[in-house]
Parts: sequence; C-alpha cells; structure tokens
Amino acid sequence: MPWRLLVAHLRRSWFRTALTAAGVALAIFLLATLRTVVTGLQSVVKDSNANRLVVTSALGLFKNQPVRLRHELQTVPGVRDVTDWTWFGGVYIDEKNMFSRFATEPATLRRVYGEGPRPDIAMPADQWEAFEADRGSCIVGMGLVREFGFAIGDKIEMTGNIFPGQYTFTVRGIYLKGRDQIDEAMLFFQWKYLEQSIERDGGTSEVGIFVLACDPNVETGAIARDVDLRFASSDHATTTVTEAAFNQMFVSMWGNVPLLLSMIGGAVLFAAFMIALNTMLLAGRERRLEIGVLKALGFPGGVVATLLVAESVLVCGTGGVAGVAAAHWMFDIRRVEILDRMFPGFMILPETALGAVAIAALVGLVSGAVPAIVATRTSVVSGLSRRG
Amino acid sequence: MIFKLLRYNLRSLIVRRGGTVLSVLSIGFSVGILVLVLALARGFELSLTRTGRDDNLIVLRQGATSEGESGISRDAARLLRSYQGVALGRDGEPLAAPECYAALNLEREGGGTANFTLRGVSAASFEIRDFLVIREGRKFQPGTREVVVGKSLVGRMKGSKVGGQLELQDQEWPVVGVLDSQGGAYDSEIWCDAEVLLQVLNRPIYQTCILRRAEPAPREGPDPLIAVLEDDQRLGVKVQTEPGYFASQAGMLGDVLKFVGYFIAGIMATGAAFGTAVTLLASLAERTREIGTLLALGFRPRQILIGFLFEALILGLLGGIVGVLLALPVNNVATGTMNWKTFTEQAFAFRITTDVVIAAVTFSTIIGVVSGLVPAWKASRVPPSVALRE
Repeated sequence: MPWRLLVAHLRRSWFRTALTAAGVALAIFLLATLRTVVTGLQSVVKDSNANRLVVTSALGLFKNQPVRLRHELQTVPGVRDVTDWTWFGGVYIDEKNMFSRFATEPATLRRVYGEGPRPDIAMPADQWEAFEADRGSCIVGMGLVREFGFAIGDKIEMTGNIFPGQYTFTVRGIYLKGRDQIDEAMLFFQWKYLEQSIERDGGTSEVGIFVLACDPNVETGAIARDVDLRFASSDHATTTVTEAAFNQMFVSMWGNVPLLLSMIGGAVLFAAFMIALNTMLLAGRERRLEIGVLKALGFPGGVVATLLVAESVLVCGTGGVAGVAAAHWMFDIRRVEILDRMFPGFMILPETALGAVAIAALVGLVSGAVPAIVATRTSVVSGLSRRG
Repeated sequence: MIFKLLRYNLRSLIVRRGGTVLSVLSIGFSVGILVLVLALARGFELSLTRTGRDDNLIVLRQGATSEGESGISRDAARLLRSYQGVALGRDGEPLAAPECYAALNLEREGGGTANFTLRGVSAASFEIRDFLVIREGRKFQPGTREVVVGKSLVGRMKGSKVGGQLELQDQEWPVVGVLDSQGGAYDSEIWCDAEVLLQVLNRPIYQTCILRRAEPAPREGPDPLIAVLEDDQRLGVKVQTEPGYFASQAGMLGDVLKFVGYFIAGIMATGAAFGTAVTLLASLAERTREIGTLLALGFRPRQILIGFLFEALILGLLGGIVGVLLALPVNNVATGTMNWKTFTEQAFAFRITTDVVIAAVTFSTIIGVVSGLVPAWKASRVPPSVALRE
C-alpha cells in the first residue's frame, strides 16, 4: 500500500486539509455540546437519591405548607429525618443577580444532605456548627464565591419580595457540591430568621417543601402513599414523590427543548457531511491524472479507492478528535459557569465523546467512498487524458 | 467593464454547480438553524410583549419581579379601588381588580407534567382586559370552582376543553370556556374566581392588582399616576404598564435564546465558511488560465478580487435564502417552554418575522464574504504570465 502518497496528498493541499478538518471539528464540537445538554438533563433524574422523598403541597410548588407538618412527618414509619426548603426569592443588590436562596433548618439539612461518605452538600464540620449556632447566618456555594467573591464573615444584605423586609445574613460556611447534579450557586439561611419577619407581618408559619430521608431498604413508594393519605382530607393535602420524580418535573419543563436540540444536531451533522463531501469530491477530481498513472503502473483500483477513503477518514477523524477535545477542555476543565448553573451535571460523558468521534469517522468514510467509487471506475485512458 | 467581470463570476457558479450546491447547502443549514432559534425567541417575546393595553397598570409589591413573588393586602386593594385616576366601568364601579396567582403542576397532553398558571380574577378583570374574548363556552360563575382556559392550553394540557375537568386537591374544577387574548400571555393561563382560589390556597392576601387609568399617560416626562401610587407609603407597591410588565417577563429567556441561536449558528457558519472557502479555492485552481486571460484583457487585480468576493457573496446570499426556506415550515408551529421568571409553562408559536429573515440573510451574506476573503486575495495575486502558460 503506498501510504506515503496519502501523506503527500494531505501535505500538498494542506490549507484545504486544515480547513476541512477544522470545519468537521466545529461541527463535532457543537454536536457533543448539544448532546451533553440532553444527557445532563437526564442525569439529573438518574442520579437522584433513591432514599429521599419530596413532600409538596397538592396545590403545587407555589403553595407553602404549615411548618407543624414536620413533626407529623417525623413520626411516619420509615422516615429517618425531615428537612425543609423554603424559596425565599429576594433581590441581592440588583434583580439581575439570580441565584437560588432557600430558608432551611441547618441541623436537619446537614443530616439529610451533608453527611455520609459522599455528601451532596460538602462542608467542614465547624462551618456546619457555626451555621447551626447563629440564627442570622447563611452558607453559600463555591459558585457564588467565584461570582461574587463572598468570604466567611461577610455580611450579605437582601431585600425580600415574597417575604417583605430587609435581611442581613452573615456567611458562616462555604459548601462544595458532592456530585455534578447539585447546584453550587445556592444560598441557605435559617428558616427561624425568616419566621421572625413572617410573625412580625402577621403571616402564617409556613415552609415550602419537606424532604424526607427514608431508612435504607424500605419501599419509599409505600411511605409516600402513607404520607399523602394522612393529610388527604385536611386543608393542606400533600403530594409526595421520589427525588427522581421531583427532578423529572423540572426536566420536563424544558418541554420540546431536547427534541429541538436533536433536530439541530441532525442539521449540524448534515452540514459537516456537506463540507467533507465537497472536499473529497474535489480531491477525487484533481487526482484523475494520478489515478490514471497509478492504474497504469499496475496498482489495482482498490488501492486508489482505499487511499481516498483513508484520507477522508483521517481528516474527518482528526477533526472529530479535535472537536471533542475542545469541548472537553471548555466544559470539563475550564468549565462555563452559566452552563453549570442552567444545566446541572453538564459534563461530557465518555459515550458522548466516543460517539462523536465515531460519527466524524463515519462522515469521513461516506465522503471518501463517493469519489472512491468514481475513481475505481476511471479507466487508465480517461485518467491519463486531460479532458475526459 | 466591471459588470462583464461580475457576469463571468456568476456564470462560473453555474458552470461549477456541484460545488455551488454543496456550499449553498452547508451555509443554508447553518442559517436554517439560526432562523429556527431566532423564530423561537421571537415567538416567545411576541407572546409576552403583545399582551395588554398601555393604559392598564399592574400593581406589584415593591421589590417583586413577577406576580408569583408579589402580595397585595385587602386593605391595599381597597385603597387602590378608591384612588383618583382609576377609570370607572360601565356599572360605575372602579376598574381595579385584585387578583391572585398560583402555579399548578398538571398533566400535559401526551405525557409529562408542567406548571400552569392559575389566575384568580375579580369581576372587573374582564372589563379591564377588554381585548379578551371568550371564544367558546362561557365565563365561569363567580363563587364556584368553574374555570376558563387560555386557547393555547387546548391540546397542550389535559382536560383543557369546554366540558373537561381539572383535578385539584381531590376536587373537580369544570372547564366552562376558552379564553382568547389574541396571542397574548393570557392564552397560556387558567382563570377562575379570585375569592375561591384564595380560600383554596388558604391565603389571606391577593398577589397583584390590575387597574385601568382614567387619563392616558403623558407623552413625555414622568407619569404622575404611577409616581403617586409608588410614593404612597400605605401601599408599598411598584407599578408597571401591562405590556411593560409582560415584556419584563420575557427579558432573560428571550436573550438566552437569541444568544444560543447565534452561538450555534456562529459555530456552524464558521464550518460552512471553511467549506465554501475550499470550494472557491478549488474552483480558483481550475480557473488560473481564465484569470490570466482576464488580466491579459486588461482587468486589474483589484477588479479580480472584487469579482471573487462577489461570487462568495452570491453563495452566501443563496445560502441565506435556502436557510430561510428550509426553516419556513416551522413558522406558526405551536410550542411551549417554561418561563424561568415564573416557572410556568408559556405556550407560543415560532414566528419567522421580517426582522428574523433580514438578520438571517445578512448573517449568511457576511459568512459568504468572509469565506471568499482568502480565495479572492489569492486570485488577485495570480501572475498573468504563469497563468497563461498553464
């Protein structure tokens, strides 16, 4: 096999080779990115904690629930711990500073999310204790530290809107996410602090959702039914679902987006194919003379065809590897804060990387095959003659 | 003279139609994606910004950025009704309607769930929004659990048709009518009686108040009615016009969609530009002789450069047209997304408006010209003596 010819061809039209590889690389970069949005959304559901249940009001997420339910939930058989999250809203300096702020109970938040070998919310023990001890304290995620430069001891001032008033929180801890699906840009403060202002305004003491940590090896479905049945005929009926189902709700709010992204992916692929095919057709046409010479020298048509296909696969495959490498560098190593925030678990999976390279190689294979078939049919005479 | 040259360049595109078609298609696909995403952003924005009348005001609690975060006490609502500057309705009552707001997680038609907006409205709410019509069925009976649904929800949310039911807290809420707000945001909402909803939610206060102003806003300068309301210490509110409020709800998602559109299309287009450059370079290699002839005939290298750029521009333009045509079937296709401001489903349709088309064609023409830069420069540098010897 005259492999040196292959290298010679690539080097002779190096500019075109580079342009084609770069074009394919861009397409593959995009394809891997789009796919990662979809797998990221899926992983949010897949990586949910199987032992957790989420109790919301039967009237939906926007309806808070009486805080006294906590004690009742605690007595349900199979429930080990109960914690709560209350959406605070609020404005930090400017409305544009959007990050999640929750009121919670530190001790139970710690037991449900902050313990075990790989806690979801990872924070040193002394910071947890400081958070529990100080009613006016808060903890923030590393993402907020990167964005706003918060440090332990800082005072964060916020204006309430759902809960009117001025609030000041002292940062007592900085947490790291224990897995990619956890938002690292949340702020938690003590619900007790919020309760003071609710009481002052004559409101009712309510929290948003309860999260139940169940005993391992119990059937959570039965516990969920048990909980909902207890409150069914009260004026605070509940809907209890697994953490996975709760997360699924947010994922399904994206609606048609995954489908749309797949459509875009298809178009991207087609555009990449156009670029590669164009280049290979040109390469095939330019080489009529050489093909004629090779055949005259006694090389079988297969050799000529293989060279064209190999060249195409090499160029497109290189582009594919470069595209995946760029995506890996950008999203997994450098990280893009806004993507992490919007799509928890935004990381390129090995199967996405392999799939993207395989697709690039396939594009190369097909693009190379078209001129290769033409080449095998070229007769020595028509190849050697200038016009054919 | 230059026109003859441009005609030569045009003819060259026809002679080498294989490469032309492939280049136009690769540009066309990236432009098609741009049109698709821009049409999505445009449809989303239009569904919100086309909502409401300029002389309707939405009153929220100070600091609230959306209705869900707001709260208006019964005292404040009463105060607002008695305010000077609020128009009077046909029955002589002030056109000020306190409303409440909830997001319900309900089943979508065809699987999955979404949060849908349930708005509890008062008697004056319909008269204030006189652009609304009940397209089918009738209004709900005040004091009952009857609801009307926005027309965009029909076919998107389970049970959303006249005679259907919504199930809430083990209670059935019959659907008695379909609401049409002429493409506005209310088309994605469910409406019921405010007092009934407050009771069910166990809430003491309303969320917002909408009112019709008696006098139109001054053409210039500060708006006295808004200023007076916002300065009233007893109220503690912020006031926006109805279209202004809904436009503010579009802000971020519209911007994100546009950014995503240009990001994806930008990357694809760069790839397409590379492909087009390859085509142009190859056609240049085949045409060295022709360029030599042109130079011998007295054309200047600069004119050759312009000719090649023109060729690239035409490729870009054709790509733009193909892209718009490829994306055209999605025009008016209904879709929905979560509005991040309210966490509720907002239904809308793709809208390929004139400005979307102009943006797309401009974009593709730029891609064409950029892809032609290197080939055109190379073409203008061909030495005539060498070229003629080829």
